Amino acid sequence: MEYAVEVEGLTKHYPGFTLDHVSFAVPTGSVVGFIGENGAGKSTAIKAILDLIQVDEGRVRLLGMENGARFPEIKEQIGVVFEESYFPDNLKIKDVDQMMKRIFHGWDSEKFFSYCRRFKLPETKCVKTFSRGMKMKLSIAAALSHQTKLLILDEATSGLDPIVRNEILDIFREFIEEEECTVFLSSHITSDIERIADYILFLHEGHVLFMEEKDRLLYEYGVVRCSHEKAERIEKKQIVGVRRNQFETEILVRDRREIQEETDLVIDRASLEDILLFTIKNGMDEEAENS
Amino acid sequence: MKGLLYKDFCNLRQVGKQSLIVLGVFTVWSIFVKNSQLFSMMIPIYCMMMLFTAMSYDEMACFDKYALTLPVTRKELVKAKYILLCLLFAAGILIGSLGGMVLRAFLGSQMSLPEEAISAAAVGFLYLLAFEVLLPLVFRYGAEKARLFLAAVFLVAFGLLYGGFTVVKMTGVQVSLQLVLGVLCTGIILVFAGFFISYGLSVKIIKNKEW
Repeated sequence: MEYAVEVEGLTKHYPGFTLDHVSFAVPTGSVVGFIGENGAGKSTAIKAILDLIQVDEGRVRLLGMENGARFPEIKEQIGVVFEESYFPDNLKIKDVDQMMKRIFHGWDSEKFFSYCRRFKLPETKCVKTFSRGMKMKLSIAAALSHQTKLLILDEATSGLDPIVRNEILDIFREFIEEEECTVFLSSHITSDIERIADYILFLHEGHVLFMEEKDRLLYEYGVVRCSHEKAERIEKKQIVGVRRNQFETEILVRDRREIQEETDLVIDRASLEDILLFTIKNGMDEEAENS
Repeated sequence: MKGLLYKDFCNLRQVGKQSLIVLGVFTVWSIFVKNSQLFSMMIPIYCMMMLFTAMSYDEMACFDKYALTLPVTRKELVKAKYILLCLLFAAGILIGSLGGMVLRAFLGSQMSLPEEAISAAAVGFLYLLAFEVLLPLVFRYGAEKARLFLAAVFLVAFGLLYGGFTVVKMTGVQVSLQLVLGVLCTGIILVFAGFFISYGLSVKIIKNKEW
């Protein structure tokens, strides 16, 4: 299997936070959803991949090249969209086009203007007059208008309304129709990732918890809702996380089919949000117990 | 890198009208005090200050972080700003000299034309030297914070100049044309050497910077 991004043992220390020996690989032609709570280290990992920070340990291969983000020929093939649009306020769409034309060898003005028309971005107005959604659309149009093979998105859909998010997800879907194109998407909005991702990479407190195929994950994980007594009967190895209230216990289990066969418990499919919430809560409970 | 310069000019387009007003104010001021040199000395510094304006726009938009995800190296990011400084310096000297000459023709001057040209060039190169000191600070601390250093740098520069003149006066050294040209040439060499030292320092700062 070919990989668009390969990360091995990535470590970065900050006061109060460490991205700790993070390793994963993003298969070429796939969409990898990168999830984790605020401060889990998603943006730090993305910055390290893009060589925006100096790592303490580890290696990054981008599109087959070691430290690829240091080489303009590799960056020609990468489109990046951050949470904010970083185009200076005084630029107009035609200025962005002219600027990018002078930066990218493979810049496609026609494609860029066609995205801008599709997104209904006003050509004569400055970026400062754009709404947040319009700014993000402009960033996405710019990220897709050169010979982009890898699209890296860091919380690019956060803070946007569902209609705009849906529109943007459609664009990503079109983008990955080409076999060689890869999307690496970090987001808090698990529903977006659930809709588009092939793989889920889960980062928690600077560690990779897992990287799994999304379909397998959603097929295997389940949420058991039962009485406190019945909950005791579930094998410990099956339990990912537990939530208790006055009336019932909710348990996220690893293999809902196995439990289904062995018990008479009612098990629902787990959403990505369930997996995220239970896992984080479990981590917090363990921390509380240890302290 | 051409793209980065293009973006800077787009940003500076915004201060175009304001610059025309400033040009008018300096013209009126020069006429009022009957001194064409005021115009030829103030315009270069005004033009060079636009570098801070361009860098402030980048800073506000966090553009540098984004630029480094494009096919742009850290070195190019720095180089673009030094080229912009040179272009603004050249524009300032050109507009200042031309405007100064026109005003001189109307207002007259006690100084000869070569004397005026030498003093304008000396001041211009002094400005450039000051910006060479400032640019690494801008890359290190950002445009807004570095503005605070601007006054300090100019204070030190003019202090040194004034001190130099006082020493010359006190020691009774004859100020000949040769001495003036010698000092000017040394200054120009210093400015050129300083330019490359400053560029090297800025590249080093940006290479170690994290976004």
